[in-house]
Amino acid sequence: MNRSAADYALRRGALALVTIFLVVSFNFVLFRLLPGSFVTNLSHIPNATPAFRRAIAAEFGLERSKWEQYIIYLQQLLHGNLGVSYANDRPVLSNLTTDIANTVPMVSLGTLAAIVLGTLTGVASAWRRRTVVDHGLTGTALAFYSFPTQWLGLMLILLLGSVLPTSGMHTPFLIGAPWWKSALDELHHMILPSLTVMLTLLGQYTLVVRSATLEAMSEDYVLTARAKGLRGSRVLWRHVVRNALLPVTTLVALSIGFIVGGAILVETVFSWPGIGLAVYQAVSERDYPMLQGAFLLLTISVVVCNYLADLLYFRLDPRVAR
Amino acid sequence: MSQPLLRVRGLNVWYELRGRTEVHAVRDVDLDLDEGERVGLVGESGSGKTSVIMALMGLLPSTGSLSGEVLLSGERTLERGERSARASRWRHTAMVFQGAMNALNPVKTVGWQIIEPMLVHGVADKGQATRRTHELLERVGLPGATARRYPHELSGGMRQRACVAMALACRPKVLLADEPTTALDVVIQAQIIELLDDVASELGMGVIVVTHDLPVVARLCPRAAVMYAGEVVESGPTDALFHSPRHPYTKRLFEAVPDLSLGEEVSSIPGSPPQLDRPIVGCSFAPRCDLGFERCTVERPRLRLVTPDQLAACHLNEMPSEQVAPASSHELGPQQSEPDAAHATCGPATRRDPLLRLSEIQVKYALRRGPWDWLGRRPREYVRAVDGVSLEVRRGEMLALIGESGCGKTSTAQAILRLVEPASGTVEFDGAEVTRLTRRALRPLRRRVQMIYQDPYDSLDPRLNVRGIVEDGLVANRLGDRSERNVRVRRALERVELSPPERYLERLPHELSGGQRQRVAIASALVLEPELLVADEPVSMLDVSVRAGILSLLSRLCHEDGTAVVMITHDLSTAAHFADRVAVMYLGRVVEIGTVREVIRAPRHPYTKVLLSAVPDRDPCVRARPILLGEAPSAAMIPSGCRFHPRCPMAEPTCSELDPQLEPAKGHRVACTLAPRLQTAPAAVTGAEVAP
Repeated sequence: MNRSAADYALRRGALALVTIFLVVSFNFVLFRLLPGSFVTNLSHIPNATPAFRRAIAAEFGLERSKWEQYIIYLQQLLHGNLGVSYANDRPVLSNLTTDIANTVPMVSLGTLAAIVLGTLTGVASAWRRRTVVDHGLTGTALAFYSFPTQWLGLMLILLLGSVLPTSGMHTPFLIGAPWWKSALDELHHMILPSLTVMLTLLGQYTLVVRSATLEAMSEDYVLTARAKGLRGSRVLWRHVVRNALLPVTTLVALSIGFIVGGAILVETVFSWPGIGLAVYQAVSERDYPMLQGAFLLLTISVVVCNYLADLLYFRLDPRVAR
Repeated sequence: MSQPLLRVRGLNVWYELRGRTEVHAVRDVDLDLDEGERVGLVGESGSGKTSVIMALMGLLPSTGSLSGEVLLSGERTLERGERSARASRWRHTAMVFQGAMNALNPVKTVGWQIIEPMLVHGVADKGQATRRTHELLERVGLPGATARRYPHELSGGMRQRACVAMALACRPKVLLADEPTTALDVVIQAQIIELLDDVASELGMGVIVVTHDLPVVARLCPRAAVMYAGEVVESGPTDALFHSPRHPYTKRLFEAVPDLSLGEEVSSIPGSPPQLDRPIVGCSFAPRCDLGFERCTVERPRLRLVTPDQLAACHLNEMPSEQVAPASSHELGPQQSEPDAAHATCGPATRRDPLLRLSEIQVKYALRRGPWDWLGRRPREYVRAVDGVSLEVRRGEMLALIGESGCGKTSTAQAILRLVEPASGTVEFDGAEVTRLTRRALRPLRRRVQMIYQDPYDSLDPRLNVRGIVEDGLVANRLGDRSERNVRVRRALERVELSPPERYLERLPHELSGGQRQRVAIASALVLEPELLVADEPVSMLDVSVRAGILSLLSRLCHEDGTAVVMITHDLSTAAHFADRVAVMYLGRVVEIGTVREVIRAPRHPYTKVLLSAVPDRDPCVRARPILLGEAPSAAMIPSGCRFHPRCPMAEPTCSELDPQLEPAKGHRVACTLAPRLQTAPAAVTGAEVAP
């Protein structure tokens, strides 16, 4: 058992590493496939001489062969160098770190709330299927799922804008306040954007958990459990939900992985200075290194979360052992 | 005994369907069960037998409603509330579910699941429950350590044993066994029957065995009730039901079940059970009964005592003369098949050349193990599913491939069509070497060899109507224009006895019964006029009463039209009745091959003898003691020497070294080094005794 667990972890880990390597390489190729090089962009100034072009190319190392560039790219990546942002001349990594630090609390709050609430509503509507509870819960979930995010955000601002802060993550006048006060202030700012994130994810979870639960409820072992004379709640939690949540693990891992990607629409609507907003700005300013860096972090995060989900799955489902 | 353990009076169950139609699934059922008694509840799908036991457990779905009276040890159970009903479940009435079902929760250990009811019902504390779990597991023939295993780590037979242990956990008074052996291999089936038999007599529980499988009831239950269309049509001692049935359905049902006694005729029951969503006027069996008269269509017969211990619901019993013929005479309708007559007229001898010849076929499946194998290196281990099989099939001959699951019979059949590529060996079809053909050259050949699958619910496209399904092969092979295809489709439907074809052409699969679906599947194979039909368990998903019809259809195609048929089956009785020759497979090898008479009457391989002894007889008086074996090893770990020796009751030390090959001669051949010696004493292994 233990050996096979180690085997499994190793195998999945190797697979994850290979995926990351492929993504890194793809990232390299992708940005070199874009029409025109960085040099044509910079040397677009009138009267640029060929010598000037060569100088720029040499400065950025672009006169070397693509393979050499690739090797250098990999080496720099291993040293944590993601390049320099065109927009503000700061290292991409430090830009991204600030943005992620802003994004993660807000989006995690929304995502985790959606996971917990969505699971509860999903299980509840399956257990009370075809009743008012079921129709009400799935109907609500579907409605929120189908609203465009930015519209939902705007509606929340209209509805709650008078009581809750609607933009940014700090009150600008709160200077020199003790740490807990500014933390509370940030939490206060987080409510509306997190709520929006939660509502957009909620529907998906309700529906997926509902159908997984319904499927588990029709399994034979649930009939066995009822025949054993167990209470309804015990049948539900020990036998149904435990099995129904297995397929949901993957979905949870994906959502958590995407936290690092931020929530572009939500952050834009609420001017949250996170990675979603940064990506939005990078796109409009053609800030390729930033995009490349954000893209890389996002994929790595998704791959890692998937790996963790695989390991968790191994713990949860004894059948995976083989 | 003044008061039975369980007493059911006037039980009715209705299910409400959408659109406010009501299905009357169980009608006025009475049932008695004494302590230590075993009663069989026999019926086909939709007869209401499962609804009866679900009602007894109080586990009807929310769409179900019921009326009637159920007394358990003198206590009314239907009227009590959910709370006390719950407390009684498993404590007083426990269940063993169908063998094929996922009755165990896959994410909990077996031990956890056995302990759970003991703790919930407070019959034991944690330490006692753990100890008792060990005892129970050992009682059902599993090592105590099984408690720590998960269900997927156990084989089907072991899981079913664990389920029996789980059912015994709270020492119930009544055990309900719902199709306890269905979908298990014969050998395992026999083991579970023996186990239930032992456990029930030892603990003195009342047992109700619900099944469609008459031999199981004949083996386990001294008394039985036969259900049809929601009502009990006959009940009494099992041997009386078999030897002197007083309801035509009982009689026909027993006649529909083949067993190993060759020569007895097997016939299906024409028609299908009535729809239960509208009131039934008169006798529910009348439309399918060939002994019915006017009164049967008008007045519903009541269940009444016809002999001192036999009840039947049939008007014929009130007729003065012997209208219901005893089982010994076979004067029933024209539906009977006559396999033996067919054998005589055009047996295998008349058509000499083999149509299909397999020589030394091997089929391997790769096993990938170890952390680096996924990188795409050549797998180091194989499962040798088929390991050197040689067979011949002639035109007009039906060959049955028999064996337990995992013995390689399906892989062998698929290798014929190269649906799996044989790793070595050759397949010759009508002189052409199939194994050498290119993919393109294979296509016209595949038209001449058609397959029929096990599950007619899955093998037919639910969105195509019958015409589309049957026509599909013609369209795919670009055969004929529209009008010619039309003619061919009609002819194929007529050949499978779906006539007139107009009645079926536009129907969708869900509008057909199981038997009709399988006929459509056969028609869609026949429309291409194949020379070889490969039928993979063609009746195992069908109801008992329609099985014989499908099999005699196949037999007729074979003997009258000269189509060769390879039938894969795990059911020896079926093979015994309908096939001409039998090949018994074990772990990828053919261990015995010969004509039906030779193999069934005078088996020479110990494995064949074991298989034969495991088949329960439909006659309750014949009580053969089966030879019990461990379970089949996996094809990934084939034992050295004779692959059967670890399970063989006759094995000698040399068997683990010598790998016996099939004898080279023609005719009845066997792969066993001991066979020449064993032949002198054939009765040593199969000790069939006829009870007085």
